[in-house]
Amino acid sequence: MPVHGLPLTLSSVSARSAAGTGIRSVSVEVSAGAVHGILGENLSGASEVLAVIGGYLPVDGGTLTVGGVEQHFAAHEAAEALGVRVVRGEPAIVPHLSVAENIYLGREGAVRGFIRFGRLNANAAELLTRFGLGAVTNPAAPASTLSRAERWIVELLRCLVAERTVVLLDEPFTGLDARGLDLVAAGIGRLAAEGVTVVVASHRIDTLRRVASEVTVMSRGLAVETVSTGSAPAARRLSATSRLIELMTANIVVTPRPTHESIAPGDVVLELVDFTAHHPVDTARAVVENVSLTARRGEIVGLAGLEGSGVSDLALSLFGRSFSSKVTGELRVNGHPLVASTPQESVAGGIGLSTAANLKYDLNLLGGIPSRISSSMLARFARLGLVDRDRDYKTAAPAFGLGGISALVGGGRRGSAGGGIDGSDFGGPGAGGTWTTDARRHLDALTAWLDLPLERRPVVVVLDHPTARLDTASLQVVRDLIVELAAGGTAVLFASDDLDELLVMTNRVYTFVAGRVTADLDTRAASPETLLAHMIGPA
Amino acid sequence: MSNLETKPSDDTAAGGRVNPVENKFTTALSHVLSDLGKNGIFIALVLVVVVFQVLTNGVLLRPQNVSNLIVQNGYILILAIGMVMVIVAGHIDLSVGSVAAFVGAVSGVFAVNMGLPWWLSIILSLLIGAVVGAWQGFWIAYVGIPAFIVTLAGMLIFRGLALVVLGNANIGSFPEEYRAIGNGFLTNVFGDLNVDPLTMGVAAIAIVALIVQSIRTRRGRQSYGQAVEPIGWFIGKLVLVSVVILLFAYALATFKGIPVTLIILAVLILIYGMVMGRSVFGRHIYAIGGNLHAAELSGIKTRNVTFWLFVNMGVLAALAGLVFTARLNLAGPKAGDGFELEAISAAFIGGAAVTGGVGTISGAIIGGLIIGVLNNGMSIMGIGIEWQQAVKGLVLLLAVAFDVYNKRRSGGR
Repeated sequence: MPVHGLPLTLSSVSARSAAGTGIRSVSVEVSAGAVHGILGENLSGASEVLAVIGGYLPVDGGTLTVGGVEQHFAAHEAAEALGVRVVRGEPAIVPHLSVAENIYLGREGAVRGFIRFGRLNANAAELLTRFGLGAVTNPAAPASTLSRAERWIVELLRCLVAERTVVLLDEPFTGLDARGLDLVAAGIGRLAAEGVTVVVASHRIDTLRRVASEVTVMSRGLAVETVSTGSAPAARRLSATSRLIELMTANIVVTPRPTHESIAPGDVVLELVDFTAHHPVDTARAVVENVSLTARRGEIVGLAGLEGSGVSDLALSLFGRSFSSKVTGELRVNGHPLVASTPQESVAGGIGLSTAANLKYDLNLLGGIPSRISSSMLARFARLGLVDRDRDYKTAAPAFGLGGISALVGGGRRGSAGGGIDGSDFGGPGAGGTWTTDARRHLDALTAWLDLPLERRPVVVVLDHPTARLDTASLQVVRDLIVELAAGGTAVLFASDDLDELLVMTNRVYTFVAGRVTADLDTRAASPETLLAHMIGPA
Repeated sequence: MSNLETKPSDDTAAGGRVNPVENKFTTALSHVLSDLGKNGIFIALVLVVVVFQVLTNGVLLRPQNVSNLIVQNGYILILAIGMVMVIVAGHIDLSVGSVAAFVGAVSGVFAVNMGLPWWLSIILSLLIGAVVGAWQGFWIAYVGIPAFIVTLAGMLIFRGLALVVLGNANIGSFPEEYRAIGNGFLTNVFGDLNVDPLTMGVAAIAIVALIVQSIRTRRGRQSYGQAVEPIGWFIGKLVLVSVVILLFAYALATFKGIPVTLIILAVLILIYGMVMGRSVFGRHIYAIGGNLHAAELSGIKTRNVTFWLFVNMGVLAALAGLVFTARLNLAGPKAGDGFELEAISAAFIGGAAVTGGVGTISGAIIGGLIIGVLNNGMSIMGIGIEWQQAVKGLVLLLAVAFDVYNKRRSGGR
């Protein structure tokens, strides 16, 4: 089936998302049937470029053309009507339908309402062969038997069958092994060869260079440069990894370091030895592998990683094993081994956590009680088995060392679009500006810890992306609180993907790729480039 | 890059993959085992039948009782067909018992009070069922209220309306043709013989059709190079099923012949088996229940599918109401009490998943038959209604627990 991919251009396009991220004056040109890469780390604006083309983010300035016609997409449905499709995160399959049905979902080519399975399977087999899966995938097998990479191929084939004109892939390489990476990369190339225009956003330099004929490098919302990745020596020189990293960090300005510099870190209070944890549902997949690290008293230790690096998983698995499965390795607090199988045990052992992750296996927060109380804590507050609704338990919670518990309660998810709900009804320390509920959780946790007398504060606190999507004023408030906490002697594990922030805030940084530590860097000597190079990892 | 062998990575569930290096014996064995696993529910039915055949000293499989089993459970089986479709889509319908009672009452008004022709009464009643289904489908599909709530409300609404229609009285004495859909038999067409030749003839046709269809499917799979079961096992299974059909037909033939309810059921099973297995509508129901997000992204009109799903359920509930009313020759206020629970149990015993996306018509029918045999067998043994309830509850729990255990063991999600 001949598909006619559409060319697209962005000229000086600016856009701003509700979460505060955005792009400024970005110009990109993609010809029909080409694979174009958008290279950038998490805060670079690469995803936002896709969101603009897909109609998820309105254009504030500049012009977007698809198929040579200027477009003002009011909603993503308008973009979809032109055949533009954004695939983000997971390939969507129906597990109990066959591979062939998944490929032809919604376009079964039925005769009088009935599917011709013989023809459907034969066509699917032919498509699978073209995309390198002919020998291994039975089109009649249920799609639940497919590996992650094979699911991506099904998703790509579905785009082909649906005659999409422009396919936008956001981080399609996450969670793939080397073979899966080959398969998906080849599939993307094949999709373009069939005529579909493909734009891939990723932070993986090598994979992107292999897939795309041209790569636009994004940094802090700006398109720094577009390089072609041909095999000519000039192109090879222009697209060398070190140069691309340099471009990716071009707009990152490291601001002067705050005052915590003067505090000398003390003894080692947290030690992780060969720590491994698996995904809570998909128990065969290791999300954290053989991680060993230390944190000293009063030290702010950065955990740096891009999407799929396992940084957030590490933060969660430290705080009770209920958020991960099959945890092995040793966790020592103040030199004593700590077996933390529940959040309560972690807290009792001196660990606090603040996260905005939507925890499926969370603490079962009870509504109606004006505080941060989970059902498992209830017994401690109850008098004669009753909880007084009118009493302010806010002060009670930190006294039990559970200051961070508010942060553990489900709700928004980091990275979910447009979570900008004003959280002022939460009360708490008044800081100007609007706080998203995510940010409010971190703020609540930090202030609750700081409210405690020094000797009752947690030994170690783990902050899971506390500054994600904050505006400048709020950012400073949170950073000041973190520094204050460290100054009081607490060791802080600080997960972030913001290079500038990591360099400014932390004493040391551990970089992560695919669940493993790739480097332990002293931030006084590190530059954004070296940091990013380790976050992208060895090729 | 071609023939790239992808390792079944960590998130790959076991099984389902063609593996060429096994020897003949292990392939044969794995086929038998996987068949037993797939047909576990069928084996459970056979076990239940055997147990009660022994416990009732052979009364269970007497010709008259075999016939009764079908007629007594017909309306539950009809409901189970619609219910499994609803459950596959990830919904539930608690209102079917009340809808059956309501439509039974309305049909009484049509056929008895108003004296309309029996066929017109039936058509109008089915239309009323469709309207009821459209009402519920509207709230579920387009307004977005959970099916549990909408049908819980429907359970009360239509039970109430049934009472309103009946006006505190029973409506009875339906025309004979109407009664036939619950009580009638297709019999003695060729005269009064000991063994009804029509019944046996239909059975023979069914067996031939089954064999032809099985061979065609097998040939089709072979032509696409897919693995097929060993020929011995294939023939053995066909022989076994044929013998069961023959014995069943013989039992019916020596009693009164083919019950009309069985004809209705057979037609429904054939039609809905095709709909769920091969039609776009049916496959989209699986898609919606399996991954709503993917279904929507692929351009499936998920709301319309949900709407028509409930219209369909309404029509089947109406049909069940008609069969039940015809069987009792009475439209009463208590009709359809607890039908929804038996139909839901049938679907789950038959392997439907609470999470949606999984379930088959044949599974639900077998699940319904298991419940039917339990009811019937325990009644013959003189076990009180209180223990019957308790046993049925336990069977439902164990059936679903077994299913969950099986899935966990096979490493599925």
